[in-house]
Amino acid sequence: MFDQILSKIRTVDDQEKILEEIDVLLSSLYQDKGLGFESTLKTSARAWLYPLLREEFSKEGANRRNLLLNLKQKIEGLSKVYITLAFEPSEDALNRFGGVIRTSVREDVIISVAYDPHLIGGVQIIYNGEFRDFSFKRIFEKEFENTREQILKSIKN
Amino acid sequence: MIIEQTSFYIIILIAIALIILLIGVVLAYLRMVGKYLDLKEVGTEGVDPQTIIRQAQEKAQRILENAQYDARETISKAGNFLDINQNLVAKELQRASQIYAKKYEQILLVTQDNIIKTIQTIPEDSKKVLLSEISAIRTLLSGQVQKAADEAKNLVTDAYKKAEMEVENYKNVRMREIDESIVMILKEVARKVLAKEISQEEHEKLVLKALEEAKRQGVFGTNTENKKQN
Repeated sequence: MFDQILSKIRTVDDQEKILEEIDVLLSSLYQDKGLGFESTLKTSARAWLYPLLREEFSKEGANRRNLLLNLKQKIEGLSKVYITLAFEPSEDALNRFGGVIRTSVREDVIISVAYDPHLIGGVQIIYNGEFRDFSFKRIFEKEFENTREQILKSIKN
Repeated sequence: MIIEQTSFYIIILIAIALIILLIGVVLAYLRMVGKYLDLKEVGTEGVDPQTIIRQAQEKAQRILENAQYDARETISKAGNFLDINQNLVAKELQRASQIYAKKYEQILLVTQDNIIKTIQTIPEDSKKVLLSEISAIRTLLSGQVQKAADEAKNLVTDAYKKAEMEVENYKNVRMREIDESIVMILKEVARKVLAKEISQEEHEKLVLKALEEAKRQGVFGTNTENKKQN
């Protein structure tokens, strides 16, 4: 169950939202002698999360609290890859990026996406304390500095 | 015993002193009485006051006459002396005044000659001195004026050069700033144009390419290593 849930969490936003939903579920465990939990599960958990959780809770000997706490722990322990893009990607694009990263890193990694138009194009990546710049910004600035004098000459002329 | 003897002697001495004093007082008394008696005798002899007065008058008259005679003699002697000496003094005074007058005249004449000579030479001397002074002053002034002019010129030149340099520096600084601004503007424009020129698809392709390159470079580590960590 955990793998399925974790594979659905792609970004840091997803992580935060899921964690909020788990907190709501945890707080509703003992409401109305346990009856409140069911309605909260239906109304608060997202559509794909609900059947997965429902299946787990219906198993024999399942402890809801422990399950939720373990899930929360796993979700909090997801490793992050920080990427900075020059544009705001669509859902498909985000899925594709996530797919590439997961095949490169591991299945339970999530992406933190930032937007910086100054990059022009490409991406900046931070993972495990390592920073790499694959954006146009660096190339652009380097080229611009190299041709700066020519540009100034052409302006003055 | 000694104290009693001493006091006894003191008492004796005091007694003797008192006795002597008493004797003196008595003697003085007796003398006074004697004088009184003498006076009384004289007063009772019947002397005539008119006679006494007359005698006194005669005596006084004689004294006055003697005094007058002496005074007349002294005055006449003084007058003679004055007469004699007055002539002498007059003569001497006259003689002295003549001498001084002559001398004064001589001195005046000499002084006059000297002054005339001096006055006659003054123009030449003063002319020379004046001319030399004037030329010295002129030289000095012209030197000072020239020096001041040179200094002023140098000051103006230096100030101008300094101002020129400052203007040049300012110009260079401003030009550099303008160049920087132009470069920044151009950079920004180029960036925006480039960003707009790249479509969404191209952006995604670029990102995927970059991610593949990162994977190739081992930014994410190897897949096996990461899975072993799990």
